[in-house]
Amino acid sequence: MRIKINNKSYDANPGDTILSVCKRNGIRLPTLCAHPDLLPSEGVCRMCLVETNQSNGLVSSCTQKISDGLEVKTETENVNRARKINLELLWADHAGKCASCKRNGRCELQDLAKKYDIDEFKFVPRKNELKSGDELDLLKNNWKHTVFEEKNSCISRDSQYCIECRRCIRICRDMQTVEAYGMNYRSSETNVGTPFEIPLDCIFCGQCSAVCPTAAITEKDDVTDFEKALADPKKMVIVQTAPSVRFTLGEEFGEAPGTFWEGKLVAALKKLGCDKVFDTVLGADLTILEEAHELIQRVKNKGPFPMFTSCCPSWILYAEKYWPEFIPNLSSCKSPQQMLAPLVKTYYAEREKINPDQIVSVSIMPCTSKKYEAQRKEINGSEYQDVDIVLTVRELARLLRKKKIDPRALKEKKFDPALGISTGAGILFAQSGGVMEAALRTAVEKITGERLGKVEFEMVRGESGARCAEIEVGGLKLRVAVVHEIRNAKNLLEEIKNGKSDYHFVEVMACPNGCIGGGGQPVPTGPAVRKARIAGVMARDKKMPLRKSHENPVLKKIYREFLGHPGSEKAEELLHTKYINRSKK
Amino acid sequence: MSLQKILLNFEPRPENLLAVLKKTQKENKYIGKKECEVIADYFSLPLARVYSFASFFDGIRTKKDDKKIIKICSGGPCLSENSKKVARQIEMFLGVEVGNDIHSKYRLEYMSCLGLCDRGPIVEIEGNIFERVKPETVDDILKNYL
Repeated sequence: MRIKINNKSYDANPGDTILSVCKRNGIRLPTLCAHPDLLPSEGVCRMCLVETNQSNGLVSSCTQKISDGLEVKTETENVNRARKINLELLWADHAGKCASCKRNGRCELQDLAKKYDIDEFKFVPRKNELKSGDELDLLKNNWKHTVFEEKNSCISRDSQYCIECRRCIRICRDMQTVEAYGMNYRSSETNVGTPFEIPLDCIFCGQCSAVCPTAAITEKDDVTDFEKALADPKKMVIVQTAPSVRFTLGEEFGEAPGTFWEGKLVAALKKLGCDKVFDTVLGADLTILEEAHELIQRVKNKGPFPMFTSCCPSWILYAEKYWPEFIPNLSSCKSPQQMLAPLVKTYYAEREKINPDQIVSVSIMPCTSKKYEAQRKEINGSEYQDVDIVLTVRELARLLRKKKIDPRALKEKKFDPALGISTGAGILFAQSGGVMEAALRTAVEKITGERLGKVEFEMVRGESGARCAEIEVGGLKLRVAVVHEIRNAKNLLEEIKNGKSDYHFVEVMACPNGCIGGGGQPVPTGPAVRKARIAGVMARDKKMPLRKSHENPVLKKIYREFLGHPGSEKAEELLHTKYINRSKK
Repeated sequence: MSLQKILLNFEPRPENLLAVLKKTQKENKYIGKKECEVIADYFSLPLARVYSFASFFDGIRTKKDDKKIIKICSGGPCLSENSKKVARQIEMFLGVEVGNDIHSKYRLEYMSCLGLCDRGPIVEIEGNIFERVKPETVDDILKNYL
């Protein structure tokens, strides 16, 4: 089918919307509610209005399907006037406190306001603009339907900034199946909120904060604590950075998605004043050794199967809240962040003769849920809180911008070698399927006792939501599955519960494509952005000299000097945890 | 009738949700968190969806409220029949203000159309509906029903 847009003819498939044809051909349309992860669009924001020859009024291009003989005009006077009025209305109900806003410069509403020159507040008169007493009612009075929440440790909400685009509701409902938010009340009092204004009770994956076009839902800000720790001369600030952060931080400073910024990241952190910068990838390698050991033990003891990975705190919380019957199946290994942190406060502190009291352990994560994980009481291995502060990539970038540090201008630096040597297997943790592949590289070698010729396991790679494979290891057929996004995990759990599928080892990540699409990653995200980030991860793994976790020389040393062997008593105490049934039923 | 008994009369299909909410509201005066959780569980719906559904309707209360509520229709036909004047009269008589929640006993608010447009202005006092209310007659009605 061919349709005409702005007097040019374009190819289109039946069933396409006008917006998708425009996007494919590089015709820009302003959108606020449409998001590549949320299809089909609902047509809520009315920003993508266009004129067609088949209807008298304007139609929203994100919902209008194409048909034969369609002629679309995207930039007529009529269209622009409608968009501008629409935007003014949205802006009138928006807080408009750009200077102090967390999303300043990264806000989709602000971008559009710039594009359409929204500078006057036609619908909200100022005091001097009032002509009579009756107009007092017109003054901005949207306070009674605003919701603030800072009660949970991960996500902060401020509905002053909300433009009611419904992205958060839909991503929570459709992708994560948790449905923590709803559109409450009606007409002018409508707000996005939790039922009965209870504190957010969800899995804290943060996808809502990643898709929010404004600052209505953001990560909870822990930058102030971090700055305080940096300024305190008595404290030693030790930072660890997650595998995926090095592939995404560049986006905040104008680089293409997937740009490898390890050196710049370390340099920027050192410039901020961090004393030591360690690599969470080492924690990831440690996780793999412990997890592979646990898997081998389970194979020996014949169960319980399947064994689920436990690196993703949102997934753990989901299992604890909604599927408590699967708690025995969760691997008892902590996540990489929580494995490296106790080592810092025990092994490293002992070796360097530092009082662990003076260490402030900070981690830079792609994830809002890690903030919650760090607060879990039962997860602490040392006598202290293992991780004191968790910052997301967005928070770190905000801090760097505030301090006028541009990583692009810095000379690359290396991680501190004490806990900073990593392998390609650990790097793979950044994306969905990575934990599985890294674990297989180690487990297969351990079970068979032979060196792996080819370290890539292509069958667990890919972008589909659920992948499964069967791998022959020393006479045992190991059935593994990799899922990301909670909706796919839910399907898999239902299948397992009904006995339709049985696996030995299952990797679950709550966010789309794993940590690379995490809730704390730079915005905007979408399948295309995540694909580029994954390509970056894969390229880096190929370049690494060491590609298997158990070949990590630092780990070998730590096991020799401190932990003994995987699964030893000391390892059990520091690196493994317990789970709690948090179900309400 | 307890909530459990109300639920027994309805199959857990989405189209019955409003009926259950209305009936619970009648028995319980409002739908609190506990009731909402039970209903959500019965219909296998997330709590957020049930709450956003319930809070949408003017007729369903989601907060506990001991005040007596007087509602005046704010639909066009009622407005053209001078429902604003009726509102002023009630304000004068009870000493309350529309939309203001200060009075200790009463609350006066506008409601959406009830569909009785030919018989306006409509005033609802504690669930009783009065048609063709005039500013002159509203005092008597209030005296009788409050």
